[in-house]
Amino acid sequence: MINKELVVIGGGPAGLAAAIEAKKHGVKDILLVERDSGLGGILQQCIHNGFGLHVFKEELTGPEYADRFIKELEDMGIEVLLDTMVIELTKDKRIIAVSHKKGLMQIQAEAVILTMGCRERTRGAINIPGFRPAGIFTAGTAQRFVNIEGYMPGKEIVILGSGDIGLIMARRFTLEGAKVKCVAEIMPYSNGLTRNVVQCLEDYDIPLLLSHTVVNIDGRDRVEGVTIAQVDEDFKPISSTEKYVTCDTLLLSVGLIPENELSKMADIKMDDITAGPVVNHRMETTVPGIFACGNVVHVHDLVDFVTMESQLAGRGAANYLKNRMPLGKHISILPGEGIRYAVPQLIDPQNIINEKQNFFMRSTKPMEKARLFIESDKDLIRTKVIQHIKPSEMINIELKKEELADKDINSLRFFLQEEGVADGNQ
Amino acid sequence: MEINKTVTCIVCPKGCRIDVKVKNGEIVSIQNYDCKRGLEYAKNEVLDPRRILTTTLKLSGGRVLPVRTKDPIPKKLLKKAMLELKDVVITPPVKVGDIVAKNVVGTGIDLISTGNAK
Ligand code: SF4
Repeated sequence: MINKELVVIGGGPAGLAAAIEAKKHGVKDILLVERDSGLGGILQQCIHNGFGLHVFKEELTGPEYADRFIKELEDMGIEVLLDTMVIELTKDKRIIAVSHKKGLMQIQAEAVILTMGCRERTRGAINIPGFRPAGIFTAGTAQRFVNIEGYMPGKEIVILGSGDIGLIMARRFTLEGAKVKCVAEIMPYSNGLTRNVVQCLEDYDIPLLLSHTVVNIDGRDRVEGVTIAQVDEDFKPISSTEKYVTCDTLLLSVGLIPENELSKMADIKMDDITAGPVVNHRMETTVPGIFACGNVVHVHDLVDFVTMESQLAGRGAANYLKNRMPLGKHISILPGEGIRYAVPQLIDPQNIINEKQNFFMRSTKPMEKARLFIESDKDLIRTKVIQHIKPSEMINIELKKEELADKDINSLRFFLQEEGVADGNQ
Repeated sequence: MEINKTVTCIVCPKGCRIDVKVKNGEIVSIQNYDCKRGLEYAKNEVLDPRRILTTTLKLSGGRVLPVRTKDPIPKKLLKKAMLELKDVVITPPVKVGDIVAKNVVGTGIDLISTGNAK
């Protein structure tokens, strides 16, 4: 049995930032476990730029962003186990990991940070009829083929879903000489960041078909084409709008799901909406001493926010290890009208780190302009006008400790009202 | 002749829709931007749109190396740059920030490695 003060599970952007921050705050004996052969996680295949605007105030590519953290981690001498997969985690923070070189390992940790990230939704998760021909890939798999292995998966491509990876791959394929016929999105709005719609589709005149989906895949050995149809308000395909598009490849960019097998094993309470653990102000799950951050908690659209959240988790774990005093009363954070979810789901206002608390949330639908209300069970705390709200772009709001701690509140509720409808009080 | 263009600013995720009025090839007004960076962006986007090119180069030992232009290059030269870089092969070792090709399609802008290869 190996004993460790802190074990970080996952060496992507979340794990890197959490481990570094924990070390900076005095945790000495840290082990980071990564199942891949190198650090950096999904960033290594995200070769496009657009990372780091918040954290570094400059625009980096994924591998460059990762490189900065990997260097820092190495300089700090944080121990890393590569090619090692954690297969079990108990609520007593006992870990079983396995690798080719070392076989089975048992590790007893005093604190754990979960940073396993997320995985892509597949065709099975969205039910498209047809045979099982070659040529159907998730956008992330295609990205790995092109950007890491150096293979092109096809020449004529249709993309289902307008998630960011799909949009990025539309541009990448086009630049590599393939023809991207269209992107079909079942929702009436894009699921990717505006900048990606502009830079990856509009720049190359790739049509974005909103309220459209793929209803059939043609081809027995290899994809030969797909049938695309418009959908009605209930997302049912309208048969009169069906059209056939020839292609040899179908990319699926239909969403990401946090990867939480280990969290469930450890009896951590999950949030049904985010599909990630319920966390508090310091990113601690409902099992004391087990923390979680990044895409394992909720799917982020910007890695910068993953980093910030993970720094908080690293600091939270350091606090926990230093001072194991039980926390005070937690209050619940409730998503109200117009808000799909808010993270964290719980906070202890007296013990907020750094005198301020950041909340991430997503809206239920796009809104041109709306007022965000922040309300406790006692009174209205604050409102804020936000423009160009999209479910794909996270809303990020910071509350000061004095806005939360002085009052004897039991819950906090966020809700959105489209401007013009709201009464507009400050 | 006066033309109205709406530019979606992509400098930050806010995505401001900036209105630009162009008269005889010159900008006469720019409206609805939320910050200075957006103003700069809209100006350039109308007069001289540029993009950072990110792609990969072949590595001599197999697989590929991620690279990017150090600064944005004119949007209309992206395809040409891809063709120019098509057959370039890089021999390791190479690390993040190393210049791997000079003066991409005559822009004076270099191509740098964004990854490490041993
Ligand atoms: S104008 Fe400023 S705030 Fe608006 S999108 Fe551009 S950079 Fe962001």
